[in-house]
Amino acid sequence: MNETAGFLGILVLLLAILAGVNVMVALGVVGFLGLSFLVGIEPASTVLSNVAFSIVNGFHYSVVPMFLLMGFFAMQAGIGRDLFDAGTKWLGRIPGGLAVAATSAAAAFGAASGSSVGTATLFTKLALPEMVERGYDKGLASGSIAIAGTLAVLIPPSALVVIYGILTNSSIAGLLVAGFLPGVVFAVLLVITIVIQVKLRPSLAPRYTNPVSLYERFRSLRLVGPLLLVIAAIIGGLYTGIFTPTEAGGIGALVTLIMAVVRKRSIRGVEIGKALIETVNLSAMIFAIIIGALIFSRFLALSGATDVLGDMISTEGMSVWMVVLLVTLVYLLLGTLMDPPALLAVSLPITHPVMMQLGFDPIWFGIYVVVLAEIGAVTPPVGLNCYVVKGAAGDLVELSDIFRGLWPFILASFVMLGILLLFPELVLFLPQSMKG
Amino acid sequence: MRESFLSFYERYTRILYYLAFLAGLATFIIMCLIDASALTRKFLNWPLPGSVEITEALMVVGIILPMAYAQATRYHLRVPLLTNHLPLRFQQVFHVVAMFIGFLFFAAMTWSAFSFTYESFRIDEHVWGANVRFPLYPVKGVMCLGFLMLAIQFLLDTVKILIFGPEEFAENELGSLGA
Amino acid sequence: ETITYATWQGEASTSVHARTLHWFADEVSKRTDGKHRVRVMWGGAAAAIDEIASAVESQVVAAGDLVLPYHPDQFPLNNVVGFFWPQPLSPIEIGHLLENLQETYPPFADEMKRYKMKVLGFRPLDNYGFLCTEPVTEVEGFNGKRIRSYGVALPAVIEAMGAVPVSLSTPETYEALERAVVDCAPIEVGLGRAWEYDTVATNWMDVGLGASFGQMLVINQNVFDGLPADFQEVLVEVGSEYLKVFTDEQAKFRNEVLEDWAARDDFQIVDFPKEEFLSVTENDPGVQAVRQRWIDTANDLGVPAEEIAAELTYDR
Ligand code: NA
Ligand code: NA
Repeated sequence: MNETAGFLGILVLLLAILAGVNVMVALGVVGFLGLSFLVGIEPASTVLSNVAFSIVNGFHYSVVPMFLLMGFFAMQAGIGRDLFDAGTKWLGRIPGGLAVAATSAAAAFGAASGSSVGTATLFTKLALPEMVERGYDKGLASGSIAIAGTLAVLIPPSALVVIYGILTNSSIAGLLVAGFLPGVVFAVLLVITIVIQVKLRPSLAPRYTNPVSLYERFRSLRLVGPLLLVIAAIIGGLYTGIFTPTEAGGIGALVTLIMAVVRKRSIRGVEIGKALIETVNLSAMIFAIIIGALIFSRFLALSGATDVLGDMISTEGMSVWMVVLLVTLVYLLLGTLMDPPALLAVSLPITHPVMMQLGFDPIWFGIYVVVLAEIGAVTPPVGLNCYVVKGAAGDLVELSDIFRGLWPFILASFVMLGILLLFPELVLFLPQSMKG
Repeated sequence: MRESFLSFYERYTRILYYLAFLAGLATFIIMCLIDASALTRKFLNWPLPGSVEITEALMVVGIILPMAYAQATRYHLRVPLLTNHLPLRFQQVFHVVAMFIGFLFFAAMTWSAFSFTYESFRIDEHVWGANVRFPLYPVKGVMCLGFLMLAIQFLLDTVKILIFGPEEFAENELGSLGA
Repeated sequence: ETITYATWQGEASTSVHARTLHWFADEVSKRTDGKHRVRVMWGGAAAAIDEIASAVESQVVAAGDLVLPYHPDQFPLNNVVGFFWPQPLSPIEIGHLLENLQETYPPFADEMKRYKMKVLGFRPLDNYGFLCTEPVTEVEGFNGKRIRSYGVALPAVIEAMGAVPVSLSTPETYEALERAVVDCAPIEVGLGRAWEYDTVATNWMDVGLGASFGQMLVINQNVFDGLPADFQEVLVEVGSEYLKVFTDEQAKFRNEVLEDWAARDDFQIVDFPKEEFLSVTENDPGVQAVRQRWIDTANDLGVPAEEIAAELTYDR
């Protein structure tokens, strides 16, 4: 009976979201009504503020706004532009050179920013006009940028990874370092995908013929300096015991702010107010979803629906790989409709307990799910990154160009999923070696 | 009538902006506190007293207080895929209902947060930090205020869409998110 | 009949807490021939650690682990042990002390009634010491060390030792020890193992802080009153046996871990001069002031505070 309420709740939740109820509201309302059904309306109403306060009043969740702030300051510090300039000088002459440079620079920029959308916006403005001008295929140009944004989410710092940690009560520090190697591997995969495409169809990207002298190349390396400073400050600070991983976001924000001030040659040139308003809007949005999701997950847990799912899987004798396949399909399907934070919020109360019961590592599952969510961020009809690229590109490309150009990269993402499944060490190596 | 509603709507948004600005300030102070405390702890062997507890209190300001402004600027995700191909008339109905549900939900959140705050006030609940003590009910009260402002914003949006029809799909609604 | 029981502890955890909670639930089923059942909601699935009190009070769940130190203003009397560190009682003695206080002085029981709670069992904390990144052989050695701190009594004790209290959340403490952001963390042997602090701070100092009180197993009074008599009886019975079962397991696990530490080359168990530590901390005005704070509160609430305080003070 109660389990039925749980399953009904999942169904109503999806319908409500697709009918246009705000995702956080849908989660919260269904959770609240479900709880009211299970334990009564008064008790259910106490859960609302308890859940909200307990999450929002926690010191270690301050990394979310700090990472967001850091990303905004990093953009104002011009770190992305510098990286793209240096990347073009070094990689511009290989097949699809500008796209390769943009992808590599986006991956590097990911070490200063955790925002998939922010990174995609930035590199659309930096790289897309030049690629189109040089006669690059619009699909290749815009698609490679839309997917490159997702690298920022894998490579630490990453707010989305923290959201997974909050929703599942997993080690946030472990999750953050875990994304590094998969992020680098994914970046290499994307570059290979670009090069193969251009090799097969050279018309996609005319060769860049302007010679760049060795002197110019090495001179351009200084452009990487600011990013290296940010990384050095954070890693150095962590290893010399100046701050904890939780505090790293605050330090990162300060260091990037200082760089923005240096870059703009005055504190007034930095739009601090704008960065702060953007940060609090995003924090509010993210935490509203987290609060809704936690209310929903309380309901689901009390209903016993997740236990039933787990039992079903174990008694039906489903193999572990069948379950993984099923979970993957569910994410790919839901991912077409939902954006990463919402997708995690809606799905994790159901999938996480099941995967833990099957003995999967919570950190591994976190990275796997984040890759899945980011695939969702580029798949139609709701492919957030694509809309963002379109928004930043103006009339330069059409949405259809972007979606068309993305397919090879989505295939590359599937390869990435396969790599994660076959070599879980890729995810677990750093967190484990961190533990000494 | 339509004009006066719009002007009220805009004035309300203005108030929400100031609250969001306060939240931004809180966020900036959090950054300063974290940095200052880490540095004084390491180099002066003197962690800034109360920095953890104050950060936790400021988190409530930085996250709940701007929730209403985030709605006014359409940051809260909405994915009306089932309805956005329907005739405008139906879209309007669904949109109005969605906003009204938002209002009802945050009215419930406000009520819950109010009881929560009142109870905290009644027992004179404090934050017991290592070297600070301060009352907790104002912090919980901020949460209550944040939810109340958001409930009102949803009510205003209900009326707005009832009068003016469904909005152009805002890009923010797909989340101009940083996550 | 089935009741829900909320805990933040993970189901698969090998901690004494998880194992004995399994025992509690299993024993209830066994003694009622499977007629009644305690359904444990593990890992904070029904309520996070600081939400359990409210969840039990409002009947979101029937029962749960009440972590008293999270609610100093709700349970000022029952939080008594938290104000007295260092203190001389063993874990099981602390459990019995609280049990007696509940039975002897109505204000102690009233506090629970106010939140509609009936106490089923007690779960004290084991002897606390410090796990540090460097060995410390005398109180002097703690001078200037950064020590993780929380709660009411610890900050004063740490300052009395000449060390620096640093507020840190539990999940952060491991990383802070690893990176030497702090030098020491107060902990009991078993938790030092369960939370893996002993992998990053490899020196154990049992300074003589003593045990403390942590948690009660509570059930909502209304829920309890509505249960069939045989279920009630078994819950009370198993609940009252819990303290013994828990502290036995706790001691067993402590000894296992200590043996393991002794056998490890990279680990040092320091023979710390407890007398020195006690005289430095017990006579410290800051530590005294914390105790006095509880005594004043308790006097106002009409219990013989000095008498109770004497039980938690070394007799020297
Ligand atoms: Na990143
Ligand atoms: Na999508």
